[in-house]
Amino acid sequence: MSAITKTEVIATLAGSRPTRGRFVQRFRRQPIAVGALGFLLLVSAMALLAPWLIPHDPYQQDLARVLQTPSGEHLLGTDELGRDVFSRLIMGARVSLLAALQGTTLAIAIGLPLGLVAGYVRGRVDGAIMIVTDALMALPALVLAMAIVAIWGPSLTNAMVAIGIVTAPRALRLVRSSVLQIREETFIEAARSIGTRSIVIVLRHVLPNVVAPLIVFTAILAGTVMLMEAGLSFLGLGVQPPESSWGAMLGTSFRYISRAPLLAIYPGLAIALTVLALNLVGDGIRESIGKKLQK
Amino acid sequence: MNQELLLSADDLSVAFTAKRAGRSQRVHALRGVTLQLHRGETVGIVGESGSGKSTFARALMRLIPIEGGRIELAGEEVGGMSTRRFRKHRRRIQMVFQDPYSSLDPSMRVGDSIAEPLKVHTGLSRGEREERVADLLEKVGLPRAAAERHPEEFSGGQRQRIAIARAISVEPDILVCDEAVSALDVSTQNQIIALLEELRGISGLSYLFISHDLAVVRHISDRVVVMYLGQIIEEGPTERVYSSFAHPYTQALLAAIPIPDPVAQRGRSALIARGDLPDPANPPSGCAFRTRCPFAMEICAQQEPVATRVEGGGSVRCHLQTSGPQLGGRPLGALMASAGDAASTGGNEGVDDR
Amino acid sequence: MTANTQADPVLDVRDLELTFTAGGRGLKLLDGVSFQVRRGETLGLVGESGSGKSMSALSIMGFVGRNRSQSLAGSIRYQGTELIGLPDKQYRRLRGNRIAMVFQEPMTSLDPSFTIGSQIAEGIRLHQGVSRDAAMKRVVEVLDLVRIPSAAQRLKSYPHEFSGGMRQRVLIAMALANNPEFIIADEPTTALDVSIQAQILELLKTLQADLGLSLLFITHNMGVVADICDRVAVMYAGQIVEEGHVLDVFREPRHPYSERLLAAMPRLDATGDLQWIPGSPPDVDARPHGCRFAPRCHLAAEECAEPQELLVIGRGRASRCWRSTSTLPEVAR
Repeated sequence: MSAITKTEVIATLAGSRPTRGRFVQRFRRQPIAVGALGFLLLVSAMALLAPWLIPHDPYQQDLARVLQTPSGEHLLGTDELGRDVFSRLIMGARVSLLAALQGTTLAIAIGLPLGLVAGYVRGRVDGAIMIVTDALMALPALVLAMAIVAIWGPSLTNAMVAIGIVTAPRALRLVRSSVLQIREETFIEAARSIGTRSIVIVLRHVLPNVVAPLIVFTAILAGTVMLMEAGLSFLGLGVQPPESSWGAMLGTSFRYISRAPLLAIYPGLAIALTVLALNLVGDGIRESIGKKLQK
Repeated sequence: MNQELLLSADDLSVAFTAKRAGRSQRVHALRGVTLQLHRGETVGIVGESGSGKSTFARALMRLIPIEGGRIELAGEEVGGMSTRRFRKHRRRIQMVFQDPYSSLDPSMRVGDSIAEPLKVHTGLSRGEREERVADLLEKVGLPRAAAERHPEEFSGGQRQRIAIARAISVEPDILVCDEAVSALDVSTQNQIIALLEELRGISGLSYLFISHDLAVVRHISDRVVVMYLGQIIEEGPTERVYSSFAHPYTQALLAAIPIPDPVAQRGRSALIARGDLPDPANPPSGCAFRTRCPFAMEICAQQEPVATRVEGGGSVRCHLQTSGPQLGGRPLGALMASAGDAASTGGNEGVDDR
Repeated sequence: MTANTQADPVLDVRDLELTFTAGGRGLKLLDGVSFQVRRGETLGLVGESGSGKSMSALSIMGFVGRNRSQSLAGSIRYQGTELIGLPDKQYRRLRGNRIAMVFQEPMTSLDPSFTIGSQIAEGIRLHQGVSRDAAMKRVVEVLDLVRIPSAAQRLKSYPHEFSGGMRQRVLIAMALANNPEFIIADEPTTALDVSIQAQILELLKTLQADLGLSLLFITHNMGVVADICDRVAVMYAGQIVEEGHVLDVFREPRHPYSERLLAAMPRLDATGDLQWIPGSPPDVDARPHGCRFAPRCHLAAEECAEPQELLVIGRGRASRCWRSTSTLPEVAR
């Protein structure tokens, strides 16, 4: 009997779908995650098309019509300077989302390469990186960000850079622990036995297997970054007037909470829902990934 | 063997430091191993936990550092070579690993995994690599379309075929199979072994076949090497070792393997080894097997036995050859009948006789 | 509860079915498992992975099939008592007491945070209600029984201080602590080195003879079956396909799967081409309506399209193949 019999193998492959298709298939089966993703896409579209969507100029003040309740003219009413709240909310989406993107990207840009190096190379390099990482994590993130902004001066860019730096340790640790697990896998040993160079091993074998847990983490990190930006802007350390983000809107609205409570609810709700949606999408991605590295 | 010498390990030693219960201990996983592999040969390496057989494989592949001894690959000393210089030698010796579920990168398509050695060692273009991959898949009994899929879509046996395709892609001289079929069920295991035999016939590959399964090893190997606690205690032509073994451990190992035939199995008279495998960090003095050996003598605790020639080919490390009964190259069988009596009357407590 | 005489089997499993329900669909993991274990005998339950042999053991012990998404049908009679549907309280009095189980992985079956003495004593005090000192006395007795040297000192040792083979002896000691009548051993030697496996098999044989135990021994290794079992039941795709005395089944298998499985086992004492069975066992949800082995069977014929019953073809001999009433035809290779 020849060991080279092909027929039954062809039969098994014919019925199955390629891997990439299965991820989408599994994701689609989770209504909550799909709904959350839809919401995020909606908010993103809103932010992108903001200049065309807004009924009024968000910077236009009208001191005769301050703190008005919702009306046909002003869908969500006006704020303390008579500006249309609805328009400001839509513009605020732009700022908040962009800021979240900036902060998250910076955190990953710092955490990913350093985490890869620390996890794969180990030894003294790992030791040095981890001392700095642990030191940074020992300090409360928001307070640290505030301190950095206080030194550099308040601006949205400074705030996002600060937040990026402060949340990078979390990303680094996640990547590192993922790498530590992956490097023990037999296929890494196989790559070494083939003669593949270390850099290539890290980029071709380690990195793609780190991406899965990293994407889940990133979705959730984006939510955290958004909240931090909201916090800094709330305190006046982030976005500066006349620009506004949801966090800033929330901050100023507090002074008028007895007179116009709704003013605080709109931006607060926007932040809460967006962060929730990010977390739910992260959960959905985690569920859809399937057990690739586990048996 | 008059064939070309492909691989030669000379007095190879590997040691590493292990942390146990707070203390650091030096473990000599491999001690003075000498082995030769010629073109077209299949050498089976057998042993249990702590025997060092997997350590030996990894030392030959330069996946772990060597403490002492030499390794020669096609005449060149490679044991002390730098990683960079050794890289180009890797195409001569490739490995198939034990676990089919983790030896293939789950994030890579099967075709890319198989092509990886080609990328490292040849200058073939992408199209040429794809052609080679398709040929290799056919060679191992998988359809060409498998190249587009990911490992998770294949069974254990199919994944081992993919691993074999990857290993032979650069046409190595030597394939090291480290328990390559141990994780598979019997039917699949036999198919993979048959595949390895077919490939050997087609391309003249030499195998180092590491396994704990003596029945399988007997089937596929020309020569057999028996390892215990980091040393080779007996080696020789397969038939000679199996039918005229010279070392008590070889006997114990053969005795321990049950034959799937109740009449034959229950009718066997063989001595199985008593006691536990010793701790590699704390090997017994003198002969490492003496704590479990039914024939242990005083000299066994005092001196390590040296390798002596055996009738029919190969060598053995045992004081019974040169002291006590002084077998002088004869097989252990000569002692077995009388040993049975000694066991039941003498002080060999714990020896189990079938 | 019917009285159980000396002649009756200790364990009598008939038409056992195990169904897992998930998302509205039911998966029948076990579907027609019938076998008997007689007093003082060892029955080997053999099959490849996925055949359902471990599930059968877990069903007998009451670890599966007793909650909302799992259900058992058929009958499991232990000494005349029906186990399916037995209230938890009564089951607990049986487990670890009259029926004991020895698992495969000695590394994970013992709690690393407690000494082996206290772990074994726990079971003794639970079922026998004796004092701590009396329990410890019994622990030493039972460690001696499994030939662990210096038993009295080793009471205070932790699992990690033992080797794999020793840990397996500890598990056997634990199983024996309350003088069980029946032991289920699920692949107890699979994770051990061959030379240690041989010792454990010798130990089990001696203990069984000395203590008059009945043993259900689950394995995928036909060599082990040939060594330790009196009778054997072969499982395939959730069913028993052949049962009989070990000498009979090995000499003249009456089911093509048993025959092929035996032919495939590499033997120390034989040369010749290695055999294998083409294809692989069907998934639980893709089992053929007729004989489940037919797609892979070299003797398949029209009759195999019908579901096959377990036919009694002699005293204590059964096979789930219509061809089994006579010797199976020789296979041309």
